Amino acid sequence: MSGTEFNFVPDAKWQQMELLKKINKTNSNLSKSLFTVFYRNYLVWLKYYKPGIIGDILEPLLYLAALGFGIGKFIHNINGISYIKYIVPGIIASSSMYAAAFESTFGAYTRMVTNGIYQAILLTPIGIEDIVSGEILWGTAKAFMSGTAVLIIGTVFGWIISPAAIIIPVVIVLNGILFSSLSLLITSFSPSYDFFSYYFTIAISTMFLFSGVFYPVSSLPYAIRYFVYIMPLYYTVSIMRMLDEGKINPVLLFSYLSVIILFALIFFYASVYFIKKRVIK
Amino acid sequence: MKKYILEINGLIKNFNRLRVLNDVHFKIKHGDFFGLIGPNGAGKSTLLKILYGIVIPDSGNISINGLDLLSNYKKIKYSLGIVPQEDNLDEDLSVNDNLIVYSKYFGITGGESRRRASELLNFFDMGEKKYSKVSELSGGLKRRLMIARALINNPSLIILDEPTSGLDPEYRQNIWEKLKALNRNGVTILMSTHYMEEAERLFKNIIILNHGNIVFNGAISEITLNKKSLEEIFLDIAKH
Ligand SMILES: Nc1ncnc2c1ncn2[C@@H]1O[C@H](COP(=O)(O)OP(=O)(O)OP(=O)(O)O)[C@@H](O)[C@H]1O
Ligand SMILES: [Mg+2]
Repeated sequence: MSGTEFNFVPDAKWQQMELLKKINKTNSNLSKSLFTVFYRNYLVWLKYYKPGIIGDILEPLLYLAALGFGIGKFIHNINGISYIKYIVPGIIASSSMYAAAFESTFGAYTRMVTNGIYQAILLTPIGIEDIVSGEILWGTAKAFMSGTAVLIIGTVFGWIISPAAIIIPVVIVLNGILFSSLSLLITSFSPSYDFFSYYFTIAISTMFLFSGVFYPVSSLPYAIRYFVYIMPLYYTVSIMRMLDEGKINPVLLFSYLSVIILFALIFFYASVYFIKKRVIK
Repeated sequence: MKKYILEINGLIKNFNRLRVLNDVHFKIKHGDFFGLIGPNGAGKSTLLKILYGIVIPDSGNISINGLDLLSNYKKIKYSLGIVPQEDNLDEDLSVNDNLIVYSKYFGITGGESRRRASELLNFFDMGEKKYSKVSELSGGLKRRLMIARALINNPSLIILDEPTSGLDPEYRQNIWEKLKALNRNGVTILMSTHYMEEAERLFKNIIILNHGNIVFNGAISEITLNKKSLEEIFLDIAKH
């Protein structure tokens, strides 16, 4: 068929009505836009999810099994809790951190720099804030999958101690928001993929090893402990452990939550600022 | 409805002390097929990028349909269709999903979105490519998909930055036909090029840009009525 018969009529009245409607609805559109950015990533994920699942779900389970059974043979308990039970909340926190961090560095960099997805989206009514929020939501979804997988396995094998652990998914979400926004901030000024090795070595691995995932932070020398207190992961591990063990200290819980939310807000606004600076000249 | 769909006044843009746009001003009427002509580095893309919000000007006023652009980018985007100089299709999605996902960015969903996507693919003779991967498309088809994507929201103004550069004559002609058809249907078009043949065939009114200055602003007939061809004028300008 000859394409030129296409009945394309930009009805001026219709256009203006639409425009007016949109103007009055800008706020509700913001939340919708965020989900469209999320949806695009989800659609692509559906095509390639199998290899991704290995990293996000299988890897933390390997850690749990190897360390829980292997080292657990020598460490009979920490504060009266068997070693494998002790590390479950830490692995939930660290696996969700890793999932968010991978997605919001390598994944986001590919979308922003390699494939020009942000540039294409910016030709539409979607703004940088929507893109950043959608990306963080997506990184959080990956974190949620990874963290809850460990939580479910832990529950099935009887490694979860208190029913209060049912609230842990909420903390996984917070952890996902926290590390997606931090990682996106890193991505916003990353000149290449190689740059992420610094981030993963200096920040992510250090947090994984020192934030109380595998042992109580109180066993570290004082000098090192002060560094731990600036690590965001320390706060999410601590909250998850409180919930898992059912030993909830409301004052600590509240202050740790405030720290997490404060970190997340700073990282979010900083990444909006720097991504804007990077893509808009 | 305002007489002019686009009005630009006193537009200035510097990139680290280099003045890329110098007091650019012009108006485009509804229904025009408006050309932006100039040699490499003249500032064409910079001007168009300002219109779609990727570059922020140092000063100047721009209004679209009477609405100030710089403070209303998001709202105005609903009635713009944009084809940038570089293709940025979503290589991870199929041809059809590129359109479907893009329509969601404009709040178009469900059956409406699917209907528009297939209409546009038919219009661009790409019906059979619906489920192909973008990475399997030729350069010419990618460019057509870029234009199709820009039309997903039924824009009243489309902005195209050298949409035919690097294409075979056959593909170029095909795109010309489609653009003319759109223009006949009332879509206002603003398009840049440095092919003079293309300019003569398509444009009604033009500006010629050189080193960020407008050196001609008027109907293309004013130029082509003269003995000199557009080609010669262009070469003259490019020398300076
Ligand atoms: N982001 C930028 N930073 C610094 N200089 C820039 C930037 N973008 C463009 N320029 C400079 O601005 C000038 C105009 O560039 P522009 O891309 O607008 O030209 P053009 O007319 O589109 O050229 P072409 O026909 O090659 O596409 C050039 O000198 C270019 O080097
Ligand atoms: Mg250009």
